[in-house]
Order: sequence, then C-alpha cells, then structure tokens
Amino acid sequence: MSFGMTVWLWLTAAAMIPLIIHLWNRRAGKPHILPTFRFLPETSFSRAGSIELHEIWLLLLRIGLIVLVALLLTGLFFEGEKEPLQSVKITETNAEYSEEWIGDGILEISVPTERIDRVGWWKLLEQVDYDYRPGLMIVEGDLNVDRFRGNVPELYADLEWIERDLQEEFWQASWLNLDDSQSGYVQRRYGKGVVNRIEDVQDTPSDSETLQLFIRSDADPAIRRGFEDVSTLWKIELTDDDLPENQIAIARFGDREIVLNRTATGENSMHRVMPGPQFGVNIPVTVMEDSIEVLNPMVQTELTHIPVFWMEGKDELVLNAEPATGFTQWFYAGVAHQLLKTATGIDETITPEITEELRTALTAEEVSTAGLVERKSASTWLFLLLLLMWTAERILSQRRDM
Amino acid sequence: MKRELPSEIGDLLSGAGLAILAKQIVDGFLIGLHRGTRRGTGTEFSQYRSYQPGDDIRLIDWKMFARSDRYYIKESETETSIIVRFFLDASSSMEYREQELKRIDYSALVIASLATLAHRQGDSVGLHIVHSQNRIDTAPKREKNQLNRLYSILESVECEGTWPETTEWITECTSRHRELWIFCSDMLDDAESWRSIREMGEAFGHEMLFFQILGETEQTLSLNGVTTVQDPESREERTIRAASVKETYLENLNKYLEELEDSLTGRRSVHQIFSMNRPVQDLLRAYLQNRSRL
Repeated sequence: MSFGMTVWLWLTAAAMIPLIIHLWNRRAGKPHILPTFRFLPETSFSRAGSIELHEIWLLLLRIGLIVLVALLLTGLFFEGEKEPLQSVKITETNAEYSEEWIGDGILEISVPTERIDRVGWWKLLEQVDYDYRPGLMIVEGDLNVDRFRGNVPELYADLEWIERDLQEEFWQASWLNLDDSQSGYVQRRYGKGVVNRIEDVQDTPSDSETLQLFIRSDADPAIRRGFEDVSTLWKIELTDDDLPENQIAIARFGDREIVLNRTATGENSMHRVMPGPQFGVNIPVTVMEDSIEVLNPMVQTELTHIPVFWMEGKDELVLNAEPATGFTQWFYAGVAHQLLKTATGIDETITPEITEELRTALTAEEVSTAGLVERKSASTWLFLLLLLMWTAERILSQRRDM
Repeated sequence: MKRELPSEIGDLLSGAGLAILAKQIVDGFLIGLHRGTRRGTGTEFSQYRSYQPGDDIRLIDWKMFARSDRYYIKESETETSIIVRFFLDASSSMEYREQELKRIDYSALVIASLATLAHRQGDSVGLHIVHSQNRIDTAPKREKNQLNRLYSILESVECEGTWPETTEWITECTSRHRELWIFCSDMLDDAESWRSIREMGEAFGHEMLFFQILGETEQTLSLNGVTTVQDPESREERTIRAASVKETYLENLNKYLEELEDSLTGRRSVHQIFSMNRPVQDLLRAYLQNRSRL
C-alpha cells in the first residue's frame, strides 16, 4: 500500500479536531442557567463526567472520517506483484538530491555523496536490494573502505563495482523526445557524469549502403568520437575527408547532402551550428526555459544555472561553453544523428545519444523490462467506507443527540 | 435549535420602548372586538325599547311617552369596568434567558400589552412587582397617566430572591371591588403556595389568570452533550449529560406541571403555559376570552 500524494498526509493531523471538540465540549465553561434545575434527577450527576461507550464510538467514527478523507486525497493505492528488476545502477553524485529513472529496463539511481557518507554503502545497497529486488546492482562511485560500515548484508542481487572519483563539475544534459515537440536541454550543474536517454533506432534504413557520413580529417577527437558512436549505431562507415575549413561533417543520402558547419567564435568559446538548406542541420531546440521537461521535479529548482546552449533565432543553435570531453562527444553524437536523420528524411526528431559504455550496458542481453509496479487505486473502497462511516455517525449522533 | 422569534420580540430585543411596543401590539390586535360595556342605565344613550311588565317604572322615558303615548324604556350603555391587577414575578429565575430574550422582559411586555388593552376598555389597572425581598405596588387607577407609570415601572424591574413563600402579602393587594388578577411567572416554586393564592383570590371573589412563562429549553431540555447547569436562585451548579437525564427530567417536570394545573385551575381561575417564543397576541387572546366571562 502506497500513497500517490504524500503531502495530503498532513491532513491526518486534522483527526485531532474531533478530539479537541470533544474536550472543548467537556470543559468547565460558563454554566447554563436552568430555573428548572430541581427537576433534574440526582443520580445522573455523578455519571456525567465519565465517557460513555457510545461517545467513544462516535469519537472514533469522527476521527476515522477525517482520516479517510485525508487518505482519499493522498491517492492511496495497492501495489500489485512487483516484477523484479534485472539491474539497478547506483551512481554517486555530488548533487544535493537523489534521482531515479528507468532507462530501457535499468533503474538508475543517483545518490548524493552526503547520504552515502551518512548511511554507508552497505546500508544503502541493502535498502535498494529490499525495495527493488534486482538481479544485479551496479555501484559506481567512491568505493573507499571507510564508506563501508557495518556488517556485509545478505543481498539478493549480484554486485558489480565501478570505482570512480567525483569531479568538481560535470555536464549533465538530456535530449528529450516528447510526443508533441522536440526539445533539447543542457544543464550545467554539479552532477555525476552525463545523463543520457536514448531510444533504440528502429528506423535505420535498410538501404544503408547509400547513406554516407563524412567527417573532416582534423576534427576534434571528442567530436570524432561522437560521430563514431553514431556511425556504429546506424551501422554505417564514418569516412575521413578533407572538408572545407568551416565544415565539420557531411551526410549524403542518394542525391541529398546535408552539411554541418562550424564557426569558431573566439575567446568566449562559442560553437555555432549554422543551419540552412544543403549546408547545415535544423535542430529544433527550444529555448532553455521552455524546453525543460524534467522527470524529477527537483531539477526545476536548478533553473538559475547558466544556460549553455540555446537557439539564437529560429534555427541557430548556440553552445556557450568549452564543453568537457564527455559532453562534446555526447553533443556531437546527437548532432550527427540528427544530421543523418535529416539526410535520410526519416524524421526531424532529435533522438538523444549515449556514450558507448552506457549503450553497451543498456543493450546487454540480460536487460529486461523495469519492474514498474501495477497500481490499484484504493479510492473506491475508501469512498464506500467513508459513506458507511458517515451514515453510522449520523445515526449515532442523532440518537444520542450529540 | 433556534426558532424565529415573533416580530414584537425582535423589536423588544433591539431596544424598542415598552410603551410603543405595547400600544402597537394592542392596536394591531382586537380593537373593537370587545367593548367592555353592557346595556342598562348609564350616561351614554343606546336604544329605546318597549316597556315590559316587571320593568322598573322609574326607567320609563316620560318625554317619549308624551310624544308617542306609549311607554318606552330608555337604555344606555353602562360601563362594566373592573380592577385588573397584574402580578409580575421578579424572582431570580425570571432572569432566565433564551435566544437573548429574558423571561422578565417578555413578561413585562405581556403585562404592558394587557394593561394597555385593559386600560382602553376602561378598566382600572394596577401592578405588583413581587419577589421575596421586596414588593413594588402600584394601586389600580383608571387615570390616563397610569399606563405611563406602569410602563416606567416595568422597564426598570430588577430580579432578585425567590417568589414569596407565604401568601399573606396578597391581602394587601386587594380591594372590596370585583377584580381580575393576572399573574405572570415561571411558577417553578411550590405548587401549594400557588394553590393558596388561588384560594385566597376565590375567597375575595376575584377572577384569576395564571400565565406561566417557560422557555423552550426548560420544557424540552434541549442541551447538547455534557453541560454545567446552575440553579439561578440557589446558585447550585451541577454537570449533566442532557441526553441521559432528559427522560427523567421531563417526567419530573410534567408531574409538577400537572400538580400546578390542579392547584391553579378552579371555578374562577385559569392556568395557561406560554413559551417565550409565542407571540404576545396569543396571551391577549387568552386574556380576552377570560375577560368576557366577567
């Protein structure tokens, strides 16, 4: 049994209201003047102070009614059988909050360093193991022995360790492919690694022989790695070519040629991807504030970060940073992918890309569908119970004149 | 549960003067229904009728005989004015309040209205404010200023003590003439003392109306949950659970009311219970019904 909106649980505090009313009614307040006083039976006075059984029932009913209303508002639901997750990846982050998301069957959890320091790796793993029952837990972060406190727990999952030092600052970025709009979102913040989402490219053209991808011979290694990632994904060959100074890459499909231009912008390290027919790509990226379609509401609080890329005008994508290697690779993988899709005319959707390492993990044979829990709303039962209790309360209160 | 109060009670609560209210009530009521006169000898001509054997020959109008050569008796309207004495209970229990309305204020309005009506009918009206500590007597008079005097006294009544335990005082409030005594009280004291009053009144040959004014809560004990109640006269306090004691309470109360009814109902007396939320006109109607018997 879980709650959809825990914030309404605060309302259960209102269950104190009937108690307060009850005590208020029993307080020794201003006496009621009753000239017919002498007709009151003597024997009843001594019993007046004690709580009678029907009063307790009525009090419990009224408390129960408030609790039920609160539970209705919380969206209480019953969980169905959990399908065990195949794997969970737990990544240490120096962000201030945790994030969870499911990508292609892997549950990824980023845990703040501060929390790991506080509870220790074992405790954390035990909790994740209990909550999700995965077959494999991949743990990535600072694995110093000081951070393993207490006894080794009995874990259901197998463990795989990836030692990694945290860096001061990372790029975290997401391509989000929404139903009705395409948007890009890059955020500069303290985080662990690059968060990427990818969908399997199911629409790779069967006649890939005719699709060609060229990159300039002296391209930046990071840009090149991004293009290599994409060529692997599309199962096409990446060919070096002596392209003009301002051109990074060219995609050819039949008689169609799409060129990716680059213009160095000098000291402020701006990379520009110039769009236009025959010589550029059209990456429909909305401006940053509008584009953020976050899965975790915590990210929205980070809007004040410096934007690192945005659309200048309608079609010009501006990258305002000297990106870290990992980011550059990721970014150009996305651009290259878009280049190929534009060339083939498959669609104009931006499809996010991921690093080779992550893609390997995701495409592993063992990966299964994430254990999304089936939810059965409890609202119908709660509503019926509410109706029943309300009727009982009405009957009891009228009979007892309370 | 609150009931809507009659308009005159609402006006009383909003501070309207007793004199104006009483006049309004009486004006809006049964003016003309009862004239308070009967035919006979008097100053105001009514009609001629033929002489019948047995009529006093002194009543024959000789001038009419001279004109018509027949015997006629000249009838005039004779006034049947009586003395109406009002007895207002001013004991502490009359301070009882329901829906902001005090029993003493309601009773004062009733008496003011009845006095206005009686005065217009030509009766002499007197007032006795009664409680165990003191008594304020206003002798019955017919003069025009009498009503203003009564209004003034009624507006300044202060409640204290209890209803007098003895009944000797009543002998100081009577005359040899025919009188109508009207009592306004909660009558929650000893039924026997009320019986004594009734018997004394009958001994004097007076008519009596006993208006018992009770509150809704007093009659039904419509209190919620656990309540502390206080006797206004003894100041004794007790905590009760109304729902638990209601049955016995009503049993005791009804028993007493039956006993009181028995004590106050006689050949010359009527006992009626009125709730404080009843229109004052109802009491005027009761008054007129009984007044017409005199």
